[in-house]
Amino acid sequence: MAVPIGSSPTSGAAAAPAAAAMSGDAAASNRSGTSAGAGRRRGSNLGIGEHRGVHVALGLLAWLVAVVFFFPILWVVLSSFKDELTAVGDPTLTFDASLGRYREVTETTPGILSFGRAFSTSAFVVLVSTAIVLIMAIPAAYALAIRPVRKWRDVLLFFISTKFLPMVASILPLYILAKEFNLLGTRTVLVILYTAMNLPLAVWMLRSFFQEVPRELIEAAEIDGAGLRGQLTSVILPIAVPGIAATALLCMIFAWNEYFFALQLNSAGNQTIPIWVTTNISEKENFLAKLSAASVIASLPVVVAGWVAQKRMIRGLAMGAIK
Amino acid sequence: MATVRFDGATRLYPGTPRPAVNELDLSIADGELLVLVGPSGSGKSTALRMLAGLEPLDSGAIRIGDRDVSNVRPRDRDIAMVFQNYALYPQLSVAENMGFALKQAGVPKPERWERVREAARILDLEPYLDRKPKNLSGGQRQRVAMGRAIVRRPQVYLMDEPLSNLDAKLRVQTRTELSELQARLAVTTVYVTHDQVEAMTMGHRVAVLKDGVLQQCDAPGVLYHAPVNLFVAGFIGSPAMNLIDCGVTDGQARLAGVAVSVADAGPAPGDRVVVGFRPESVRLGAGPISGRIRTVEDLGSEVFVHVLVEHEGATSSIVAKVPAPFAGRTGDSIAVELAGVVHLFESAGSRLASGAGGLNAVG
Repeated sequence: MAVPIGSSPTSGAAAAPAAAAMSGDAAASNRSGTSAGAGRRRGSNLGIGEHRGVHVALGLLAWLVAVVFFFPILWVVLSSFKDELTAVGDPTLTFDASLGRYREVTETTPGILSFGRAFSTSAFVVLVSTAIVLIMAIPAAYALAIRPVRKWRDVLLFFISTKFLPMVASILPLYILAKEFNLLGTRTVLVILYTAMNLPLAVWMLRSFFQEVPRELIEAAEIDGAGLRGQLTSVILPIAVPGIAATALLCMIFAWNEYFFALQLNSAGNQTIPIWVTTNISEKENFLAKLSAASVIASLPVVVAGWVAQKRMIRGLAMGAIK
Repeated sequence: MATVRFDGATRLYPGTPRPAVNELDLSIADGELLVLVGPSGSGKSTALRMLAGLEPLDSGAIRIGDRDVSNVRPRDRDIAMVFQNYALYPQLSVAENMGFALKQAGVPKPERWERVREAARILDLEPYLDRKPKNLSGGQRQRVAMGRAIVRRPQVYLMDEPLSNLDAKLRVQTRTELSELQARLAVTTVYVTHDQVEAMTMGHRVAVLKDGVLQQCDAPGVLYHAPVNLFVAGFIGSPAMNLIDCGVTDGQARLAGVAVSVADAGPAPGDRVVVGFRPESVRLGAGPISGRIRTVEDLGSEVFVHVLVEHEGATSSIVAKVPAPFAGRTGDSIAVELAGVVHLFESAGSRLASGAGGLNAVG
């Protein structure tokens, strides 16, 4: 969902009712002639020296930006419930909403790629690549955070530098390699590429989460007789769980959304959801409503995952800042 | 249970010019509670971590019992450590925290439970065994950390400022309990603190460190009454010992122009010495030195009086500890006398003599 950008979480929501309350309140305090307390009430969330007017203006601006950001998404969602003719016609809010387009895109297959097949490919590729990423990134992060190897800064830079090269620039060698190893059009090639794509990010994130694990806890476990594995499984991982969850979720979202590699390296039969969305584009007939429905379907898992994991993820992402 | 010996143990952190712990020689008897005390940066925590195996030795050796553990991993040293911030495993319950080491050692569950119960009983933690650390008070957490050490029945307990996160009242109470517990269990204990009151009240012996070098290791009373150098003299005792740099004439040190006599000392050598005397050795109201009261600190049972005296052309401050009540006020003139033990130190720091001292007005 859209969240007002560039304002504190409360100010946007609080601003409007606060503005209403303000007018009456300010009038009252003016009448009674107290100038010192004007505009400042008990329980107000205004900071010292902040003005209510500025607060309200910023809140309104935040809402405006939020609506502008959210509007295209709203348009897509609305279109997905229309029939094709209404969708291409003049914008209207009064139409016969139906799930027809959803049924159409999931049940009929315009090309050779069915929704079910694309969904299972995507799910497989996303889950397997994320699992591999975690299995590889956790030891790497341990070596960078808890027992820093020599020149760990260089190592860290190396990891992230693999993301500097434009994907487009690497597609030719990747294509040739995939072809030589007979991986073109397989799920395996996507698993490999998505793992490689997310690994640097995961190492960076996990490293900062692992650094938050108090040193004394690891030392206590060491004195208590826990070996490397015991320290990792009984102390470090349980504490870093929110961070690991946040990392896994980001990897899953990035892999789920990936379009370019999937388009270039996979044949039609073994493709992922983003490609399936585009198969609903047709040259012969109107397709806006169908495409909208497909887009909504493709976005749903990410939105749901993000919503469900929101609390955990924010805590994970903020773990570095707050103790 | 075992003895512990540091044999010239040295730790030099990479990139630092001076060893954090320098040639430390220390023998700790079986069942003894030895306190390592010193200001921050003195190397006391490093020394403890070396014994724990968390810091490697650059030279020298550490022995637990007859065994050289210098190259033994922490988990194989048979020690238990209590950390300053307790280092409780946040996701484990109190019982699981206390039983963690036993579980790692493969002790079967019934025995584990038995030993955790026993430790919980000793520490009054039985009602909290199922709680998570975050649902405990500071004092309870501290006891869980103790419990985790007790359950293991190790050869040595290592304690790194275990009371410094408690509030003042609880700290004093826990200090006593901890001393009693250690005496009851009779396990060799090395205890690190920066608090000299803790050191003096708890330690069978106290080792004073400064800049990684052991200054003196002895019973608390000896440290107090016969400090080997200026650092120990100034570090142990509150308020601190009065230490005044004095010129020597005719073989006698002169404090505010008045000759200081020390029973056990021959003529004071050199031309400068440091005269040291505890606040309780200062008597006010009569005596050959005249001074002016700077401040009066009334603690109820006793009063600390800071007196300014003219000494070698400058103003020096002397602290006196006198019984309450005390009538003087800031700015009053008052006469000062020394009656008690007086120490002489050479300017470089080492002690020359201690003994019953006094002031000879005649000079």
